[in-house]
Amino acid sequence: MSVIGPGIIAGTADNDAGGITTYSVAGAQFGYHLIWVLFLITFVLAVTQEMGARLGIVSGKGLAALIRENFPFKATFFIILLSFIANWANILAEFAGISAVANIYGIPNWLFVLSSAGLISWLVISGNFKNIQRIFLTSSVLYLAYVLAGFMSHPDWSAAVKSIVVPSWIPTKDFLFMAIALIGTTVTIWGQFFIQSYFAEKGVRTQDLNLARADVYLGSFWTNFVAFFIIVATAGTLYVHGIAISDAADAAKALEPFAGTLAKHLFAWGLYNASMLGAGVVTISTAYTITEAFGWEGKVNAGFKESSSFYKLFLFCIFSTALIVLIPNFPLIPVLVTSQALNTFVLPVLFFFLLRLLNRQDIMGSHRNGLTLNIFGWLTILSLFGLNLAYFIYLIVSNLR
Amino acid sequence: MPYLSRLLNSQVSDSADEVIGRLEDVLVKVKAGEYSPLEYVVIKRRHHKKRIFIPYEAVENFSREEVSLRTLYSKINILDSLPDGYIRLNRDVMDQQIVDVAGARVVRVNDLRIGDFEGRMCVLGIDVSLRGFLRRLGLTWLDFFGLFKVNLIDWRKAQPVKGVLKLDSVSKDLIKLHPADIANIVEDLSVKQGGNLVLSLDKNMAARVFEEIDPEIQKILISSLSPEHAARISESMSIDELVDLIQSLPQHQSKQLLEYVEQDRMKKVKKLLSYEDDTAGGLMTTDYLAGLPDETVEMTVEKIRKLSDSFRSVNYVYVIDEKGKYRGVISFRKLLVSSPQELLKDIMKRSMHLPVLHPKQSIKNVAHLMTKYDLNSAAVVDQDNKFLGVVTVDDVMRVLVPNA
Repeated sequence: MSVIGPGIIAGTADNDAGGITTYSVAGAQFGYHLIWVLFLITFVLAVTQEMGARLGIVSGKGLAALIRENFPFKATFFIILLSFIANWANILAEFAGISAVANIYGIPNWLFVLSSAGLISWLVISGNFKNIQRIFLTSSVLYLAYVLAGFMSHPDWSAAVKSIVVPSWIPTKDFLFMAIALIGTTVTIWGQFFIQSYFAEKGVRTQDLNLARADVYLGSFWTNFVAFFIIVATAGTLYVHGIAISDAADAAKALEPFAGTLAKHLFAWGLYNASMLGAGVVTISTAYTITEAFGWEGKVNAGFKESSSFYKLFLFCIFSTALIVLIPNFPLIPVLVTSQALNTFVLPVLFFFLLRLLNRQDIMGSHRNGLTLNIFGWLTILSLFGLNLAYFIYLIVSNLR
Repeated sequence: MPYLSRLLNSQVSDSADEVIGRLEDVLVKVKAGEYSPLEYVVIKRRHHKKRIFIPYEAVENFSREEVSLRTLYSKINILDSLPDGYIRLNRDVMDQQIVDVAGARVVRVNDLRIGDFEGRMCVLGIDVSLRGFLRRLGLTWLDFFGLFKVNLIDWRKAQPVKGVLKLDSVSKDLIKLHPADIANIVEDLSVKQGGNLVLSLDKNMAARVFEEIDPEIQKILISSLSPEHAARISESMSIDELVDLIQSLPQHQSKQLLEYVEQDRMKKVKKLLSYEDDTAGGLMTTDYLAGLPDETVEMTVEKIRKLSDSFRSVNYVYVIDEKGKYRGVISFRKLLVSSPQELLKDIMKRSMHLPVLHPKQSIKNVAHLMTKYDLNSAAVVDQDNKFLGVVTVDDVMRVLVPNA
C-alpha cells in the first residue's frame, strides 16, 4: 500500500466545502458547545470506516454490490436512491463552495463554476484525477492555517478542552439541527461506500488488515483534528464578537488573527481546494456506487467507451449541481448545512445494512464483528435515529405554535 | 413464459388447494452448454424455520397465476435437507454477477426467464435489461412507450460466478475464448474473483490471460495473490512481459516475485531489467528460437516441435553462431519449403543485409524502422553484432496503443 491510503483521502475529502462551512457556522453560532459531539463523531467515524474497510477487504466487493446481492431488490433500490440524493446534495455543496470562492474574488460566477466543472470532468475522464488528487491532498496542509488561527485567536483553552468531554446542550431547534449537520458532514454516506470500494478494488489481502485499520483511524483522527480547530478558531473570533455567518466571506474572518489581510486568500484557496477534491472524490464514489448496484459496472480505468454509464452519471452529477448553483440569489449556507443534515437522515439506514453484512458468517468468516463492535454499531444507529426523530418532533412542534 | 421474479414468494398449494407455504427458491444443476431443468423447489412454510425441498416433478402448475402441486402434500416425497451439487437460482444467480461468455463481459442478473424446453421446465435466459429492473420494482407500467427492451442472455452462454467459478466447473466455452477476452472478464470481476478465475486456468493459459490484462490491474492482481500463486503465473509468462510486470511493482513485491524465477530465466530477466522501458532493449524478448549455422533444416524443425509449446508467437528462427553473433534469419515458410538436409547457413537471409536494432534505440525509432521495412520482428544486437533479443510488432503496438 502506498503512503496515502484511502482512509486519509476520505478523511481529507471529508473536510470539503460543506465541512468547512458547517464547522465554521457551528463555531460561530454555538462556540464550544458542540465540540463534545465532534469527539463522539471521531469514534463513530473510525469504527464505521474500519467496518467498511474490513468488509471490503474480506469480501473483495463494494458495499453497493453486497447490498444488492444480499438484500431484497426493493430495499437495495431504496437505499441506493437515498444515498444518491444525499450524495448529490453533497456535490451541490462542493459547487456552492466553488461559487463562494468566485464571489470572494469577484470573478463572474458562471465562468468560474463552469470552468471548474469542466476541469474536474476532464481530469477524471482523462484519467489524470488520481495524479492531481495528490496535489489536492498535499494542499490540504492549508487546513493547518486553522490550527494556527485557533491558537492566535487566544481561545479559552480550558473551556475548549473541557467541552471535548463535557456535553452541553442548548434546547433549540437550531442547535439540534447543527449537531445533526455536524455528524452528517463528518460521517458521510459517500465515505462509507468509498472506503469499502477502494479497499476492495485494490485487492488488499486480509493479512494487511491492520495496515488498513491504521490508515482509516489516522484519516478519522485527521478530519476531526482539523474540524476541532476550525470550530475553536471561529468560536474564538466570530462567536465571542457575536458575528453570525451569513456568507462564506464572513467565515474567512476566523482566519484574521493568524493571517491578517491574507485571511481572505487563505480561506478562499482552502475552500477551493476542498471543493475540488470533494467534487472529484464524492462524484466518483457516487457514480461508482450506482453502477455497481445496478450492474452497469465497467472498469473505471478502462476509459470512456467501456464504462459509459459511469461517466454519464459522473457528468450528470457534476453539471446538474454546477448549473443549480448558478441560479441567482442561491441560498448558499442553508443549502450546505441542509445537505449535511440529509446525510445524517440516511446514515442509520445504511449502517443497518452494514451491520447485517458484517455479521454474516458466509461473507466475513472469522472476521465477523465482535460483540463490542455490534453494541457500538447499534448504539450509533439508535442515537442517529433518535436525533433525527427529535429533529422532526422539534420541527412539528415549532410549526404548530 | 414466466420470469422467476414474478414467481418467487407466491403461494404454493397442493392438489387439494391446501396452502403449503411460499416459493423461496429453485434448485438447478449447471451443465456447460445446456439449459438447466428445474430440479427442486424450495418452500418456506409459515411458522416453520426449516425449508422443505420438493422435486420439480411433483409440481403441476408453475406460472404467475398459480404454483401448485400434482398431488396431496402428504403424499409427496419431501426432502428436508439440501441435496449436493445444486445452485439456488434466487440466492446464487439473481442479483449476482454472471459471465456473459458470448459477450466476454460480466453483467448483473436482473431476472431469469423460465420456460419449456424439450418437455422440461428450464432456465432459458438471463435478463440484464432495464426492463427487468423495472419489473423487479413492480414498475413496468412506467414504461408505457415500451422504450425499454428486454435483453436476454442465453443461459447456455452464461457462467454463474458465485460459489461455482472454480477449477472444475469453468465452462468449456469460457476456456475457448481468446486470452484477451478472458482478460476482459477478469478485469470486470472483483479482484478476488478475477484472481480465482485466472488461477483456475491451466498454467500456460493463465499466463497468457494475465499478459493481456491491463497493467494497472495486473499489478493489483499479482499483489492480491499469495507468492506461490503469483509464481505459478509468472513462471509461464514470456520474459519481456514478466520484466514489465516486475518493473511496475514496488521493490519488496518485485523481490518476492523474483525469488521464484528459475535460475536460467533469472539471468535473462536481470539483463532485460537493465534496459530503459521505451527502448528496443526494454521492448525486446529473449524468448526466441535460435539455431547454429551448421544445423540442418530437419534438426531445426524437430527443435520447433519440442519447444513450440513454451513460446508465444514465433515465426522466425534466428541463426546465431557459437560466439553468440547474429548471422541471419529464416522464416518458417522458408524452412517448410527447404529440403531437410540443407544447412541453415545456406538458406538464411544474411544479417548484413537486414536492418537490426540496438538496445538503446527509442521506441519511435524502432516503430519507424519496422514500418519502413515491413518487419514483423527485428533482431536486437550490440556493437559487436552479438545477438540480444527480438522485438516483435505486437510489443511495439502495445506501447503505442496501450488501451486496446
